[in-house]
Amino acid sequence: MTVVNAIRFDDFSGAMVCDEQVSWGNMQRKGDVGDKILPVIPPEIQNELGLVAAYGGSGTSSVSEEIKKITADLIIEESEKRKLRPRSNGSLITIGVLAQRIFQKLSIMKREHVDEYLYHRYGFKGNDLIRGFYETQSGKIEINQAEIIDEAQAAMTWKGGFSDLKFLYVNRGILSGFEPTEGFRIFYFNMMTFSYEPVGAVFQSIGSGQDTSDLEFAEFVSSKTLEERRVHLDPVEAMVSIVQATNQASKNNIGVGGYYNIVLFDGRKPNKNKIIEIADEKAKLCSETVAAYKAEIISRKLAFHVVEELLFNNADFDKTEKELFDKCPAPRKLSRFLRGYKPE
Amino acid sequence: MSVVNLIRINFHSGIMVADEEFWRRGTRRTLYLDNLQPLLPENFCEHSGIAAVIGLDGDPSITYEATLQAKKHLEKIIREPELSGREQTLKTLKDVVDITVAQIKLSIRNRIDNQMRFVYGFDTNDLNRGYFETDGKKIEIKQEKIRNDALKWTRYSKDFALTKPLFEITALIAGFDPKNGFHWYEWSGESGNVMLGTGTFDSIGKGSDASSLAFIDIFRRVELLRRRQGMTIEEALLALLESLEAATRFNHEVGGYPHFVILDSKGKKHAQRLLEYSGHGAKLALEIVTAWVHGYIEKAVAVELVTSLVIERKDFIKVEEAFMKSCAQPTALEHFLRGYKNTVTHLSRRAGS
Repeated sequence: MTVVNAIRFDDFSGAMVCDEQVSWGNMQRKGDVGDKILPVIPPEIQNELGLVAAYGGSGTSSVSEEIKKITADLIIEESEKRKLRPRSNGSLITIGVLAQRIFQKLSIMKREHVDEYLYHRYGFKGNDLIRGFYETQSGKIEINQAEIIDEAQAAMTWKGGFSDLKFLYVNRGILSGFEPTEGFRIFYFNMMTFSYEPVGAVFQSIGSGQDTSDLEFAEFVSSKTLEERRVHLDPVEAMVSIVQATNQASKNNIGVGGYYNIVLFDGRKPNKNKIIEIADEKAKLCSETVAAYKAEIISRKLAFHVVEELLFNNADFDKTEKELFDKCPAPRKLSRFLRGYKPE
Repeated sequence: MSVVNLIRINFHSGIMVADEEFWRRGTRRTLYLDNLQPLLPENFCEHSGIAAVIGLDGDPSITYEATLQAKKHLEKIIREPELSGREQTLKTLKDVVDITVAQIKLSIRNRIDNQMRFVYGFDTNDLNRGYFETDGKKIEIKQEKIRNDALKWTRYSKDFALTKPLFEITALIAGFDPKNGFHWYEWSGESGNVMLGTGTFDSIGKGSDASSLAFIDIFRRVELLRRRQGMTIEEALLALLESLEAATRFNHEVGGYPHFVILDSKGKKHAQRLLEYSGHGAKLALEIVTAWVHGYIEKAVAVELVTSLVIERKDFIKVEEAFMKSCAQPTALEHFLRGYKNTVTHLSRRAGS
């Protein structure tokens, strides 16, 4: 249960935002302790090549972690290969190729988990099921039992929403990143449909918060002309939209809450600054500002100014918060609203 | 799903509290529950010295109907006991509980029968006797697959989505009568049994997980004789809010404004015997206790402020001002109440410096 949102501003830049709520115990307990978007390019490679990427996952935390690790390992693997070819130049790996490689690794990871399950239950693995037999010390054993074949096949294909392996299949992810030859790109992974794809729209949302986030994104993007969508969205306006999309999920959807992790990509910046994360009180103040603007407690001008200062100008938290309250026509109303009071 | 908590003050009195959060279709968070409902008409309570309040946890599509039916039926019995097949009117809380639970069960049974008739054309009574009648013809329910499928409607199963919300209901029915003082009963839709409440507290709903831990932690520090003697209303209110704070912090499906019902059989009039408190003041009371639990204000201050709100009904704005002034680090408190973290540590250090 989560929300991970991504948006593209232009060929060079974009952003990702997620919440941090994690659930346990048959969805009874909650805690704001998750780490859902992880930059996956080692700093030395980023600094050298200007390649930046982050992966955000929804579903089972352990599977998401595994995917993040796979991605980081892949980059290191590519980097090691490159060292063996010192004259090579150009890109280490494009975001598109990285997505393709992640999906290949994902497929292997999925088959390994299914094999673990099948072996634990029946003593054979997926390839044994396909060839129709397996081998033990006492010899070859054919897999003939129709019910076992059906169940094993369901484990491999998730036919009928096979519940024992739900933890494995209900995982989705977003990979966003910038690489100099192809620019800023977003890719979407879905283990329920066994697929990955480049995101054709300007935005992508995953997790239990997707349904309400999508409403905000759809409204924002639909208000933009084709030219704007293709060439350039105003980054501040786009950030207000993605934060509002996350706010809507936090307010209306289960399993979404806590601070946000805001990840900004900008390929125009020096390599070391091409990706920045804002996951502290500034992210919280940013979400409060957007919520107050949408509740018509503060003006659009003030909200956009505060968001720009916090996210793009590295403004000081205290000064910005003070400015927000000083310029708000009803500071007490703002305080109560942000504490969860209903309108008076 | 939400939380309904109850605390016994002494032989005469107790308090209930409920939140207002519900996950519509299991995915959308909404704040609209009205889970604590007085069951009896005021004029009857005034003269009989009985009061009863139901706190229900479950899908509101069924709990709303069940409560409505129970209230209507109780009113009918009070008005015309003979027509309802009773020799006398209601005398005890147990009388109220039995009728209420019977009505809840009837509401559930009606829903099940509606579904079965929709699917197969027969209901639970027909299934029990093995046949149903249509157009004057008797049709036996012989097909094994159909009989087995129909049986699913009559039993609680987590895997049977059609009837799951009908059975997953729990209720606390608390109140008092002239003979027995304050007491309560717990009912579960899974087993159908009514159990007499024991001890000093009770909690139902998704939030009962963390609430129970908070209650246990409070009462494990109180020795037996003191537990029997009871506590002051101020202590009880604080403990109840502490349990609610725990559920809000750790459990899903708990949130929004609290709603209190204070029951005190010693009151001269019904309006003094059954008091409800909700709205901004109730939210502020929860904030005050949350601030105390997390070390922003002293316990004595929290007791005084909560008492001034819930019992003395002082003005919400004045109490809010006093609350902010009572904290040595009002900026840190403000941040904390808005959901900031410790960041809180550095924010609070700065605020205190």
